[in-house]
Amino acid sequence: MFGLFKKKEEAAVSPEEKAASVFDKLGGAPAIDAAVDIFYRKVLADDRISQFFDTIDMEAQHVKQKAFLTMAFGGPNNYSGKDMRAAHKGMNLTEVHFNAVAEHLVGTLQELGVGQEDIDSVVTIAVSVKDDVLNQ
Amino acid sequence: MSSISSWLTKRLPSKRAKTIEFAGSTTSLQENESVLDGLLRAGHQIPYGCRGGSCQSCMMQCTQGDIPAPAQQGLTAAQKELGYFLACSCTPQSAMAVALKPPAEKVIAPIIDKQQLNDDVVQLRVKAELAYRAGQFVKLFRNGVVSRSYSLASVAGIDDYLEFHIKRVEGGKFSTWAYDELAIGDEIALEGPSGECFYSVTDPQQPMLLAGLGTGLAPLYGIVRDALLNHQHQGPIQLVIGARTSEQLYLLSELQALASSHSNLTVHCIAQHVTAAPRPIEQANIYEFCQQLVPDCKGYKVFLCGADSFVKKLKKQCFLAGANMADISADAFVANG
Repeated sequence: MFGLFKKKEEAAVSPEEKAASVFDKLGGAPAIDAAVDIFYRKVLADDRISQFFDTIDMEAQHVKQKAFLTMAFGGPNNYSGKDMRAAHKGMNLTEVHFNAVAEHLVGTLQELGVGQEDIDSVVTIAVSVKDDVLNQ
Repeated sequence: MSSISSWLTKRLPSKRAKTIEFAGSTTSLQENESVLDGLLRAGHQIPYGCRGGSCQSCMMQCTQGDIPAPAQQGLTAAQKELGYFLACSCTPQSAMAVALKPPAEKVIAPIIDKQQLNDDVVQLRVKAELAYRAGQFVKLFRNGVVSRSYSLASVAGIDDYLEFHIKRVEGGKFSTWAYDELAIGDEIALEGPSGECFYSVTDPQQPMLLAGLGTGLAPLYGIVRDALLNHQHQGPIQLVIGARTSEQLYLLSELQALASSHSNLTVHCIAQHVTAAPRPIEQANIYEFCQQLVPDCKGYKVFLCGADSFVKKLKKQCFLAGANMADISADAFVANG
C-alpha cells in the first residue's frame, strides 16, 4: 500500500516543477546567460537550421533564446504559445528542424553537466511547444 | 545635467521609502512590487513583454538611486554602466528615479577644425560641452532639419573637443554639405550622446579585438584610447582597420605612435587593394584576417564598427569563434549620407 501511494505522489510532480529544479540547479538567471551562448552557437553552426538565422538581428534573437531557455528550464517566464506560433509562422518548419534544435538543447545541458533525469524533464517541456513552433 | 540631479535629490523622499519618480510623478511601491507593476498600477504607459527578465522590453534607465543586482541580470556591461535595468525584475529597497529613455541633450557649438583625412573623409572638430563615452554617437543637424548620426572619435577627459569623421556620400544631404560647405567658425547643432558601444571596465587584463571598416575607425579610435589612456587597460589589444583600397586608410601615423607607446596594442592595417607601396598595409580579406589573427575568441572583448553587413557578418564569426554575446559591442552604420 505504502509503495503504491509513494509512486502516485512522485507522478504528481509536473514536468514544470521538475524543470524548475533544473533552473535552480544550474544557478538561476546568471547561468541561463551562459547556457544561451552555448545553445545559440550550436544552433548557428548547424547547416540544417542556420539559414533561418541569416537575416536575423543576433542580439534580438539572443534575447528570445534566453526567454525560451528560461521557460524550458522552468524559470520565471510568461510563455505564450501564441507568440511562439506567430514567430515561426510561414517558415515551413518541419520535424527535422525541431529535432535539430532539441538536439542542441540536450547538447547544451550535457555540456553544462546536467544529469539525464533533469535533461528529460527539460526536453518534456520543450516538446510541449512543438505544435506551436511547427504551426500545427 | 547637474541641475536635474540636484533637483531630484531635493525631491526624493527618505531612502527607506520605496518610491519611484517617473515622468514628473511619484509612485509608492507596495511590498515586493516591481517597478514595472508599480508604474503600470499608477497608470503609466510602460512597454513590457515577458515580465520575467528575459525579453528586455521593459528596459528603463535609473537616474537616481540604487539598482538591485537582479534587475540588471543579462544586461551588457555598457548597459549596466548607463544605469539601464529591467523594470519587471526590479524590486528596489530604496527610492529610485527612473526614465524610459536617456534624456537627449541638444547643444549648438562651433566648428574649430576641419581636416581632410582621405579623398572622401573629413575630420570635424567641434567645441562643445557634452558628457559622453568614447565610441558613442551623436546626431548632427544641418540647419536644424536634416540630421545624421556620427560616432565620436574623441575621448572625454583627453580631447577638449568632439571629433567626427564624415564620409562624403554622393547625393547625401548631410555629408555633402558637411564636406563641401561647412567651415571653421560655423555653428552646428548636436544631440546626444547615444549608443552602447564603448569600453567598460570589467577586467583590465581581458584580451580585446577591435575591428573596423572605413570610418568605423572613428569610434574605435576613441574606444582604444579610452581603454589605454583613461583606464590603463593591460590585456593585449588587436586593432584591425580595413578599407577597400590602401589610400582610404587614415590616421595611420597616429595609430602607429599609439602602438609604439603601448606595448599591449598591435595595429593591423589591411586593404582589399594595396596600391600605396611603403606603408605597413597588408592585402587581405578582413574576415579571414580576423579569423587567423584570433582563431579562438573565447574570453575576448570585441568591438566591431562599420557598415551594417560587415558588422553582422563579423559579429556572427566572432560569436561562433567563442566570444560571449555580452562581450561583443557593435556599432553598425547606416549609409544614407
